Amino acid sequence: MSILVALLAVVVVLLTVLVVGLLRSHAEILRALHDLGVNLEDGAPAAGPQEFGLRSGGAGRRSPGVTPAGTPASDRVSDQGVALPAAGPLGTAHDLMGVTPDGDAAAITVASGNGVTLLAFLTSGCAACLDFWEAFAVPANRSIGGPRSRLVVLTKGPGEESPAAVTELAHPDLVTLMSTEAFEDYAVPIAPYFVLVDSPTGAIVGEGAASTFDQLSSLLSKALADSGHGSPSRTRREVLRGLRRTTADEALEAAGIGPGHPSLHEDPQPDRGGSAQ
Amino acid sequence: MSDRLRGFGLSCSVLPGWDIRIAERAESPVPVPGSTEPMGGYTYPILHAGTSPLPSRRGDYGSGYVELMSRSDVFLCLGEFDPYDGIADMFDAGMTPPLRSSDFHPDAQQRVIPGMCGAQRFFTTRRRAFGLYVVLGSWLQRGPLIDRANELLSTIEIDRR
Repeated sequence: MSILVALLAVVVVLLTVLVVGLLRSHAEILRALHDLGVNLEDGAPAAGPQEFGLRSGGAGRRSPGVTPAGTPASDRVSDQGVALPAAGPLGTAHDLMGVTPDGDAAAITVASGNGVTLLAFLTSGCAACLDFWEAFAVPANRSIGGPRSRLVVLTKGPGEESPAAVTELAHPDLVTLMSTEAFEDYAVPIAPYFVLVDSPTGAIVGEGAASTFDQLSSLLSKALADSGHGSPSRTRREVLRGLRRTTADEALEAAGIGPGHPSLHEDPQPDRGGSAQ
Repeated sequence: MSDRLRGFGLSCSVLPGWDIRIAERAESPVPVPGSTEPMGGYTYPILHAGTSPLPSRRGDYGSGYVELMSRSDVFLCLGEFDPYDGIADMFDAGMTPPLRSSDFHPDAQQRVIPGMCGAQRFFTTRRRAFGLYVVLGSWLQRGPLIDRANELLSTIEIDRR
């Protein structure tokens, strides 16, 4: 009898360990999903159409900063001079045709390849655009949409933009196209403006304005998560571990603490050693 | 949007799924000592087309892009030569006909990439001399890729200079 009780106790302990492990795993998954912008809690708002920060959530409901569907592009500018997206379906992407700042003829297909394509509509003159020109000069920032993403910077054509000014701003490795047609095809109200395209399907998964690169990064994270591009092809373990590690590193880096920082080698409680002597 | 891309006397249809550039590199402003010829020689137009995004920096024969090609990708390069080069026997007269499977071989690449293959032709038309260089992402599955290359090739038009 005592052996049976002992065995039963062992089984109960094992099952308890198993349940705790499953609960912990579940919590880690929920935390990872939450970091990716997915909320599975009861009462959380249902996922609306794919948005890019400022898009409308559904018929009859209009988010602030979004103009009604059908508003002409020229009227989609806020009092602060910021471009406003229009409500309604996001539609599909248009292929691009124009000239490069060097004068080469170029046709760029948007619905090609894997991942996403970010179209950045900029000008050579607007102050807000300067932040993006400078940011896109850094190779890592050109993969803002993920490792398989593609960035195409668009300005208006040579009739409305100075190719020399664009050449001066655009990094040689940056895919830059001068095309007034593209501004019209995508109904861009005013630069800076951004359109995110799902390359395999050619569907626009988000669009909107951002005034700084950091803001664009934040908006993109949400749009990518909404469109299913938020978690690149990594294993669950990589996602769970990678996210935490990145977050900790980023927090330390933001505080100015990197490898070799003096604070990492100091005794956090210097008095403790003295009192022990 | 027009469905043809034009530049430097070359044009082609903008077919879905193709990234295309028609460019002419800038000539050096520095002349060869004792000559009026620019350092590095004269430059001529070149057409690049790929079935995946073309990077900004590419070599004349697609270096910088061909290394990134997948098995389903095609790269087409139409580069102009000095018209006097067209006198050479290696240049055929008239616009080049459609590509055939027998034109391709893995060793016909500028730099051999395992699994891929290339083809090269030289021809003259409208008093201009050209070299056509095509790279396929797969030697074993080249059939449909050749069809795709021919689809674009058939739309290329060359103006008289």
